[in-house]
Amino acid sequence: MAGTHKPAKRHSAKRIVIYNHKGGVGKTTLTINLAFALASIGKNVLLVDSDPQCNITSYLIDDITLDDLLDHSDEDEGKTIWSSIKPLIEATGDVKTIEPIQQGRRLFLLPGDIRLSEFEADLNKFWTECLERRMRGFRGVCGLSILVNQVSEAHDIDYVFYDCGPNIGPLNKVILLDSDCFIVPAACDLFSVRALKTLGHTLAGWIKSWSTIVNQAPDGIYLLPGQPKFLGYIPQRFRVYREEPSSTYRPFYSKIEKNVNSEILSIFKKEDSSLASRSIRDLRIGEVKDFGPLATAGQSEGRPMWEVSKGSPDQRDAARQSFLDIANTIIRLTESHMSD
Amino acid sequence: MSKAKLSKREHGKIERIVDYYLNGECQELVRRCELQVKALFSTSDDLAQHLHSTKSRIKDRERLRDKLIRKAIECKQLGQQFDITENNLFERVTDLVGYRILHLHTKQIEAINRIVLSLLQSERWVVIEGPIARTWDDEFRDYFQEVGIETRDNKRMYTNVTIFLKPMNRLDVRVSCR
Repeated sequence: MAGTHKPAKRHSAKRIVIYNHKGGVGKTTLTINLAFALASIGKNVLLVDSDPQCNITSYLIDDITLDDLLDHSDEDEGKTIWSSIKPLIEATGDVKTIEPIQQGRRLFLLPGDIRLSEFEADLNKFWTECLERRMRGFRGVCGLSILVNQVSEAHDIDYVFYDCGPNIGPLNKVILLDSDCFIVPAACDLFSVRALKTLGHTLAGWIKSWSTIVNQAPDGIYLLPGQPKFLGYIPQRFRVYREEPSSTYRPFYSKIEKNVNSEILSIFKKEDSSLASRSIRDLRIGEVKDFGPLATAGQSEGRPMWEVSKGSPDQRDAARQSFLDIANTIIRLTESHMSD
Repeated sequence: MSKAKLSKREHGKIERIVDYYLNGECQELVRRCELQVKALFSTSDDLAQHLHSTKSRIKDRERLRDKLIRKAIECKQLGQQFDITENNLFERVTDLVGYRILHLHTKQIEAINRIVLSLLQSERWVVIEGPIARTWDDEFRDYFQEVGIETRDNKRMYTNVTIFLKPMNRLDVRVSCR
């Protein structure tokens, strides 16, 4: 009786989430600029706007197009993530394939939707159904992952970036569990440093809880991998003096490192050392200083920071170099690290 | 054949298996499995209309101990090795979790069987054995065979249809329709 259904094979694209449940640390700006950087060096990148606030979608497409997308997302021809997963919520079928919006040659976007908050509410129910070993639960929890799989397959994607809201809700839980790795952005301020304290336990709890479900799941069905590796952290938004973080930001810089070590790295090492195999020294995979007007100009112009009309050429070059460095580090780490 | 007695060592081995079964992790596993099987059969309104009542149970300490002792004695009488251990308990004892469906009319089994098999298929439960009807009555035997259910003789004065299921790698469940 088993084995009548052939599960989808997970596509080889590396799925990455830049995650911190603290808001305002620059997740979206980092995600989008890294996506642009990876695309500029020849990688096919899929951005998944899984934040009901749709920030990344409104970054990339104009307001009129966005309004039109959202106005029609509930219809059969809808083109947002909500349009795709709606059949799961209404129990009328499986995930519906949608075409991503292409931005340039190598960048693709799965548009977000404010109605994803409804999916979020249903995800709690799906999770409980997984514990009851119900197929509806597995289909619901894995729905977004299956959509990403289909689009990755169709467009030969190399890197998937999930953009998610600043919370520890069920949508972020399934995104983390679907990701091959996560990167923690941390702004250089007191609240960001404090927020790191709860992050490791939250993520480790999710991994453990999903592994209980996986152990009891039917054989051979599509499941979230549930093994996100800690790829590293990125300090952000600090001012620079003589090419070093200025004295105001320096204490936060070292506190971030300390908290990442004690509150994420050591917790992951304890739970499953394969998820955090590198030392704290290697985990700072880049840094993004405060680029002043470039960030806001990027948002309003829908471009990478280094292609905006504001700022000086030097600033733009420095921004480009920062993101390219991180992008290259990600390529290096995911190509070696992921096969550990 | 005279009833064989178990040695202290054999009793000790059985106690270790029972203790293992009662540990937190195993108990959580069987409890979760009981919850899953209950959830499985409560999803169908179709099924509900054919049922009188349902009952689930997890094997308790005494019943498990009695069963293991009975099996160990059987092995001894047949000159075989009693080979149930902590490692294979969940595979060898197939009724650690049980679910019973009680229905009032024999002929309801046809619809019940159809709905149960369809539920098992859509929810991906693996049927290890069954459905098998155990009955003492020749007329019942003919009827079950007519509706496609294998039959076996049962000396007891009741009839039941049993399915052994495998919901996951480690644990089997017995579902019995009476």
